[in-house]
Amino acid sequence: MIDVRELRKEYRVPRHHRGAWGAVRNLFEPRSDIVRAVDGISFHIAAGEFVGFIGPNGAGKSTTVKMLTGVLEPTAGELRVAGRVPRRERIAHVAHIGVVFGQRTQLWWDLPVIESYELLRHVYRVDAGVYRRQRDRLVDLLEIGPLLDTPVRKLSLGQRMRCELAAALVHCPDLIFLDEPTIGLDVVAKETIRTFLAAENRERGTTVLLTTHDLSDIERLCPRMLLIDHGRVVYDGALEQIRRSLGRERRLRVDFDGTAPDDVPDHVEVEERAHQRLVLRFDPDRVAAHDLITWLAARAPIADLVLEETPIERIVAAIYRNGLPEQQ
Amino acid sequence: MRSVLSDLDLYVRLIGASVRSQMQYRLNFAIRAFGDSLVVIGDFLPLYFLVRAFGGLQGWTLAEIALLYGMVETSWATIEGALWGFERFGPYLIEGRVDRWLLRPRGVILQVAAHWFEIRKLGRVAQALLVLGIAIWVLRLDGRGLAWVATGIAGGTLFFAAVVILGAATQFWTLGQTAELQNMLTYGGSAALTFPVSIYSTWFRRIVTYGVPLAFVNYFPALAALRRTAAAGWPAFVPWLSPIVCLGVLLAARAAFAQGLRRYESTGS
Repeated sequence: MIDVRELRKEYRVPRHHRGAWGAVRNLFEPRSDIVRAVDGISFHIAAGEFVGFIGPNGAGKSTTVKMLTGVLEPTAGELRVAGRVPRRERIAHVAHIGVVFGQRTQLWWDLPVIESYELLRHVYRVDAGVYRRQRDRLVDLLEIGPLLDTPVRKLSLGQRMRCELAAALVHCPDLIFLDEPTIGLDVVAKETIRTFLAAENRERGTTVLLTTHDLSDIERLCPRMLLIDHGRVVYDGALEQIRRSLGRERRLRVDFDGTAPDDVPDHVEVEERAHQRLVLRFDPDRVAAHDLITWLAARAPIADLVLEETPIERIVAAIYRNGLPEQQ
Repeated sequence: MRSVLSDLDLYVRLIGASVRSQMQYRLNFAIRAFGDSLVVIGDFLPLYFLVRAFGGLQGWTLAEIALLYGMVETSWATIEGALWGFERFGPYLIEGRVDRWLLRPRGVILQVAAHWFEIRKLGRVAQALLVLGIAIWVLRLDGRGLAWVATGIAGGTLFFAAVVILGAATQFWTLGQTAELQNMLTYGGSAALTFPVSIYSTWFRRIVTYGVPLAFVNYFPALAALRRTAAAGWPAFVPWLSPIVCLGVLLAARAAFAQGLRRYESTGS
């Protein structure tokens, strides 16, 4: 479905001269720096995949998505989506994709929701019968029937996002791009949207590329994740795999009946210490959990304890900060 | 042909949506339409008193000046209303609406044109037609004269469409920072056209005839309507060039916009 090889995008960013005289010089002697937003990305996404696209702000995610959707022309590299070159064959390309921007609406703000769907049907030249079936199906799945006659500006964010998804799918695209579709939504609204997306992918074979900062979206929906940083793919695989290779570290929280012990065994780190509580981190390959617990119990009676895996956010934050460790 | 009809169909539907959107705010609409119609009075009355005080302008009577004014104002107000999407293009570029237009399988120019019809401008069109109607009645224009007036209005519509599209095209290079430049072009142009080109100094007359071909918008068709082409020292075929020149300017503007769009696609915002 998507083939990307050594894709690059460079921007020319004006570099301003400073001061009052500088403002004049900017006019006559413009200088600019070349910024490489996307620096040689390669990947392949097969039809029917559900792929998460993550990375810190400014990593090159949205530039990549803009190239994939045909809005931006790549500086170099090869790019094909469903066999088409997005920029060169823009009209044919965009007729087959759906795009949702979480932060921007594509609905007609002052008109009832249903009118946006009617207009989009004409924009995409969808056959009336096909349109009616697709609309009814989406209205049903996204539970937006009661909202159809409401002007878009009066919808809550969660309601609007559901209507927005339906709008992006009016023309039955087989590939959809979602940019932060769950941003700012409450738990229930997030769940509705995730359930819907999972079903579209599973039952209709729709290929989905989801950009998000919310790792629970990825955990819930994406068997595969592309992690982008500094314009490059730094990781391509399952989120679970990252957890297995990097998230071995365990966290142990112990509440004591009485004062917590002053020291801990070798190779164990103290994350937090209170009068009756210790939060410890350790690598189970070097320190066995039961040995650690036995050691602690011998020093003070234990009232309660919790053993946790490293939260995935923490692992990814570490990758953002330090890159992927060499042992990978 | 089918694609032209389909584009026209979409244009009508999208314009319809923009009109229905504006009707959501009736009071706001009424106030602004009223304000806009005052502009015409404010524009035309000083002109009226000026020309009356001098008893005409270099052989142009009050009614003839009103004819020039009515022609320009009719086409300009129509285009300002109909192509509001281009007028507001700078902010749209900044907001990222252009990305959305690129994501839809239709021409970008069509979508921008169909984006918004500022219906309050119809108030100005009506006032311009009123001034024009009075001028035509006073001048007792015959059918041939009326045909030339219509030609002038049609050419003016093409010309102002070109100006507005060209103004929008500049926004691709300045990333929406020069909306004022655009206003200067459009409002400056329509103001200069209120007077017969013949009253200007030679250098300015040359600019508006051969450089920015403003003279073709209303001056030459008005000369033809008044049967004064020869008297003004122009060959008889010159008024016939009017619609052709205006169409040429529009095609050039469209090319500039397409070029800007290509630039946008390679640089982003």
